[in-house]
Amino acid sequence: MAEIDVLKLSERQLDALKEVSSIGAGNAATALSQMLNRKVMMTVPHIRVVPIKDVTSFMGGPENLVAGIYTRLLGDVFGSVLLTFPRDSSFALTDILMGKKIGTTRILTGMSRSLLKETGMIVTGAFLTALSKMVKVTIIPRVPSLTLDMVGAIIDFILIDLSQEVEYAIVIEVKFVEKQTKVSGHFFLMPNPGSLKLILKAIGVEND
Amino acid sequence: MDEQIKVGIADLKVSTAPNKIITNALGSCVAIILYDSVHKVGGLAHIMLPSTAFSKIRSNPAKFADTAVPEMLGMMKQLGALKTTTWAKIVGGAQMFANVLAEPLGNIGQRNVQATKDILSKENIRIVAEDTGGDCGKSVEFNLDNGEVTVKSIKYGVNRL
Repeated sequence: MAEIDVLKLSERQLDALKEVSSIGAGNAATALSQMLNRKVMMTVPHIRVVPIKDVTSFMGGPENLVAGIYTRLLGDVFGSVLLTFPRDSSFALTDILMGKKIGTTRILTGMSRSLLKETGMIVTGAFLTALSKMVKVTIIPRVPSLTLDMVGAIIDFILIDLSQEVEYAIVIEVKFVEKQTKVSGHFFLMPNPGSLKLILKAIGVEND
Repeated sequence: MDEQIKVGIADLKVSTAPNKIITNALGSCVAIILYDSVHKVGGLAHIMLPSTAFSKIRSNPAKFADTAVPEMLGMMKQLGALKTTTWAKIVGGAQMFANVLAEPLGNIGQRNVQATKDILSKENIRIVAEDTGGDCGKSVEFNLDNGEVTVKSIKYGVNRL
């Protein structure tokens, strides 16, 4: 079978991807709401096909400072998930999870780091569970890692991996926001090209 | 008027004094800075991978350490630079996440740095300074007036090379 060319994905294929991603996002929103015991809103997923060098342009620019939680995917679907929180949101999230007054956390300590990683694991896990059920594939997330740095520096490692095979990345993006405290974050799923093909095949739009 | 020239990921630029070349948010990528201090001609490459052997797509020389250095030297020569008076500074090659070593590209930052050193040694270019490794992102400003390289990171602030 020929390689998937992400530049040649049809409207129907992109719509199908959006559809399955929406269900994943809904699941992730529910999980996060339960975890925080607050209402969390998720946007309709954005499916973007972008040159690898431009991926950071819609992440607030390469120097944008974020807490990034990276999860590598194994199993049938290879790829990466990156969850990013603006610095202030990562602090507020820690406060909520620790039952503290918003504005208490000013630095990410061992405890807050571990809570953020757990948040990442739950959001990612909820999204992937929905996806793997729908497309009937096995997706195994590795233990997440966290760092607070410039988004460009955080993501170049993922881009390097993709750049071995392709020049364009497909990025599935979901934004979420908790209204009361304005905690917001971004969920980015970047499947490797072979995995994208498997997903499209499983949802029956491989040749559309 | 001095100009600020921006270098993106898998990109390279050469220029002359009094311009500045900048590149942002290096993680595992490496910035290779070459400078002929006599003729005040320099270049900066933001490479992603050690060599063309790592990728199916090899058309862009700025993406790899082993092709970016000869490409930059050629472009600098056209601006009047001589190899004998050219030195190098290198920045980047971090490992951003602690637990990724088991992954195929887990130590890619380190490999990028090593490949950069290998090609520079092959081309007989001396490395006069480096700020490599570690676990944080770095942004670089290269001043073609004097060859000074300013490295900024969240963790360590400003480091002048």
